[in-house]
Amino acid sequence: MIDGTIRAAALGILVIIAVGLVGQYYFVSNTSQPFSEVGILGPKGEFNDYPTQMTVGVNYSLNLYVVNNQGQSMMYAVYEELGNLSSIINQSTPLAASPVATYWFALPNGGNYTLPIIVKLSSAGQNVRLVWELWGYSESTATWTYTGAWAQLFVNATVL
Amino acid sequence: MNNQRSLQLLAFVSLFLVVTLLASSSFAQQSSTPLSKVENAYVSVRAAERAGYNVTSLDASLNNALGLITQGTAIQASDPAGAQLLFNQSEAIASQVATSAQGLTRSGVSPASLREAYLVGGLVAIGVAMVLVFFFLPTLFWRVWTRTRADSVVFRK
Repeated sequence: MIDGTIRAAALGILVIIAVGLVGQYYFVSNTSQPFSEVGILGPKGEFNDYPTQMTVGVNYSLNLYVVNNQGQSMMYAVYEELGNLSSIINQSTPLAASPVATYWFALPNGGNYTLPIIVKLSSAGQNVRLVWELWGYSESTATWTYTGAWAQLFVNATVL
Repeated sequence: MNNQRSLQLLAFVSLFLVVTLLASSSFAQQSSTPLSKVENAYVSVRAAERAGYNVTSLDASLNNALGLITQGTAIQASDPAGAQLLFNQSEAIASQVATSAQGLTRSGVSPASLREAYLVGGLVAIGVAMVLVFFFLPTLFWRVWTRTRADSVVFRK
């Protein structure tokens, strides 16, 4: 009776140690919810002071913010594109427009990077939609694929 | 006559092969853009990362190389020579990164393999401990227990 209890207690402790060992190995190797983020910050690098009016041909300072939490090093491209109110963009569909500028980054897992950028519009319009799409390089297919993350800014563009 | 035709055929085939090789080599040179150099370096960095090496500094260098490409692309229309300079610097950084990453992956046992070996070793040790516990622990326990109580006297009511 007592022999069985002693055996069970000791074997239980060994099983707990084994589970801890496997758990530690698994959690070191995996990221539970991988994600990438892109954001646009104001001229001072904060989430405010965004321009709402832009004059065609004038330079406006903004900051591009990228976060990598994919559980691995990532190489990103951010495509700056122009659209309007009716343009379609969501997590699975990127904007159907040609990039007006491209910014590239390489970030370690858990890293983030803020890049000052200059935005200059070349034509006037109401509710011009400035879009920054985040694309990641896939080493398995050797292609750039849309991550589903994007940032946008609506402005009215006028001619001086 | 037959020999002459064979020689002509051989010469034709050789010429075809040389032209094909030259064309493929020229195509390979054209397709090697500064960005593709960084992409290749990134693949090497990922291989090193998968092997368990810390690649934070290599990522920082890759980011610098990509920053130069971003700058070069922005000024390419207005200053092609300046852009080319930036692209060359980017390619040089990418080459260094690729060499360092490949050096890491070639240098002996990787941390990932070592971690796997520790896991397997640990589990085997626990398995052996379980067998020993199952067969010998009760005997050992009672031996220790009787030794620690060697001077004890048991009273009976």
